[in-house]
Amino acid sequence: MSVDESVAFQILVEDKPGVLFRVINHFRRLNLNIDAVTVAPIPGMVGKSGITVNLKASSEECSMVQRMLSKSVDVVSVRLVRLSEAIRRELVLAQIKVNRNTGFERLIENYGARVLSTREDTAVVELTGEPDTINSFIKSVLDSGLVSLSRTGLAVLPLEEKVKEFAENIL
Amino acid sequence: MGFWRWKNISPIFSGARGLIEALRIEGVEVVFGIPGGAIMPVYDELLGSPIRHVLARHEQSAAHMADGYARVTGRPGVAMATSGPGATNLVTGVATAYMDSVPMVAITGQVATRLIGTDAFQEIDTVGIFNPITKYQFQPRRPSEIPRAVKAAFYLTATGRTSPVLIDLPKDVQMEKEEMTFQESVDIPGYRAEYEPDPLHVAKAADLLLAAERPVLLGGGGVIKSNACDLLVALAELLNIPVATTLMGKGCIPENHPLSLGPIGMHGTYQANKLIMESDLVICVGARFSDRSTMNLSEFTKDRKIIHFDADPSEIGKNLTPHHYVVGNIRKSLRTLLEMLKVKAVKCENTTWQRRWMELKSEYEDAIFGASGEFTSPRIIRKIRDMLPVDAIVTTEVGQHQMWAELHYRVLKPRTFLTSGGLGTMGFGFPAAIGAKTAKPWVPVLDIAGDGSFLMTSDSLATSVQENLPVIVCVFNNSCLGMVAQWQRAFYGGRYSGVWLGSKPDFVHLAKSYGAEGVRVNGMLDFERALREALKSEVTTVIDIPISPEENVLPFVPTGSSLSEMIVK
Repeated sequence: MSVDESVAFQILVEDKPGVLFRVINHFRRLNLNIDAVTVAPIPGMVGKSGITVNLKASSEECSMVQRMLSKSVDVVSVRLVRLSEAIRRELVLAQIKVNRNTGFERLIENYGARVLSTREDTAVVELTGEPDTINSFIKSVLDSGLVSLSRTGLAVLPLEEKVKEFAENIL
Repeated sequence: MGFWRWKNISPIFSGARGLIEALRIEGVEVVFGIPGGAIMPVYDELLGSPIRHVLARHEQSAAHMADGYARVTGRPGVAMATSGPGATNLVTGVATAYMDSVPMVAITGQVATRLIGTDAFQEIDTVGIFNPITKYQFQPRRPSEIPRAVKAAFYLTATGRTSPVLIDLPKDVQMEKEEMTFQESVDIPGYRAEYEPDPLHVAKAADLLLAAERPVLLGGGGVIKSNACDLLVALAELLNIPVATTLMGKGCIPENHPLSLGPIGMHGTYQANKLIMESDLVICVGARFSDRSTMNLSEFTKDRKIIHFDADPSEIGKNLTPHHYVVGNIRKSLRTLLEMLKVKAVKCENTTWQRRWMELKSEYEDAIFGASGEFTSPRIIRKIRDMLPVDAIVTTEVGQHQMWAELHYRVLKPRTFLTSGGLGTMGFGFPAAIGAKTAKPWVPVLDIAGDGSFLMTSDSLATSVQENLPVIVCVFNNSCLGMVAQWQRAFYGGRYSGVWLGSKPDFVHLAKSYGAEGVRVNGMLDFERALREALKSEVTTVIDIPISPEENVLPFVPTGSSLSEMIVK
């Protein structure tokens, strides 16, 4: 078994009830722990949706899941992306306590976050970035008084030639 | 068929009526099932339809009957049950069909849509439960969705790698009326029914085959499912190369053919296991290299090239990485291969390899390892073969008797040997035999059974008698769960745990109590007489054959060993 690495499955599916369950059930069967899942309709493709599943897995496990996914009736196509070879972005919304001691403004500036709204002593900010950046941002705001938080999970855009090479190695 | 069909109009039907009409359009002639609260509207419509209903006594058996029907005909079998326990009882039967890639449509009733999710009486998440054991699940939420669901279900189940499909039908959807359109075809964007074999891939396979010194053909269940047995045999004859099979592939070449070696595997024949491990090339057609067939996988792949032909692309590289593969419809692939080889093939005649396999085959073909007596399981099974016509259908349960049948029952035609290979379901054989008899009432159908397995679905005696579907059950009766006992002898120092079936019915009386025939035999002549009578009988006959609980199935390849390391005594 090879070492685990961070990958994303980009799965084009039919947009209807039960499909996410069927897709995720394959990961469950292999006892794989999913880090993030995002689902979004695909512009220009009526009745289709894109699911991105992000997890750490060995190449053997990836190969097995890919096999099972390719066989699924609802799945139109599957693409396996090595995260180290893709552009990846995540968005986080955080409501943070704002007072003089927290260094709020410096924090916003350091990360390049945007302030979306402010109330008496809290502000809602938005940050887009790589997962590592998001993690480190969340760690920082935890110290400065986090009220609530919501993150989107990963959006991944692979560098095409790398994907092909990776897929060939696995199959 | 109703006037609406030839008038080409969209009729207004209840969901139940729509279902029955859709089933008729698919050519369904028989449904195996048990009614219940949530499927009653469908049963009411069944009454007026030409579709035959065969009443099972347990939903598991209903699924096995549909399975047996499908394996014999190659057409999808239909099993029907109510919601809740009806659906969960179907699970084992549907999973059995799934593991052996059998086309089947399971139809279950469901509570009304407004009650789904409320833990209503006999409500269960049938779609959720069936997800891992079916190719697809449908739950129409409007009556007008039913025709498309049925069309898609029959298309999915019978094409590509055939597999069961579920239709879960809420009761209100069965009862409401709506305008329905019965389409000729369906479009399923994510589904590719069939792959065309790439001629370049086939050509490379042909080259590898011609370059091999010691080739062996390995035929799996996929050869039978794609009706490609004649082509496999033609290929073997063209090149004069021996053919081994998997358990599921039994029958893809007549087992009395000079090139047939019999099955490989844990309980494969001596010659097949030995020769496949001496080969330098295995051309595997429509098989999936299951652990029970290949045994120690690294030994199996060592020192030989493997070419894998399969209809299902996801099978390539799943269990082993072949040196070369051809994805595509097996029949088309084999035809292309044959055409290419006809031009350049040289028959392997008078080669060292031919002398070797012929020598081993003639030496071991008729060998019986282990049991030495006259009235022992291997000899009884050979007697069954001698007495049955060529096209008779034999089913098996699961256990020692199944492996004796694998070793000693020579299958002469495809689709005449039905066994639960993948899931290994005890209780499969008897209801499957009834399903087979439904499809081919003019052919004798015989279930090779063990006492443990037969007890699991023996209530199907009621079905066979009531529905006038006479089959023969040969119960190899050793008063124990024989295969487990054999393993306990081999691997647990003879410590028998939970294997003795001390208190069990007298099978003769059991059969008679259902209105069937029952007979106990002692000795081969007695058995011959009983089987001859059974073949003439108009009711099901149970032949109780007492055998020794000490009998072992041999040869036996222990888990982890190479196929050539067989225990023979």
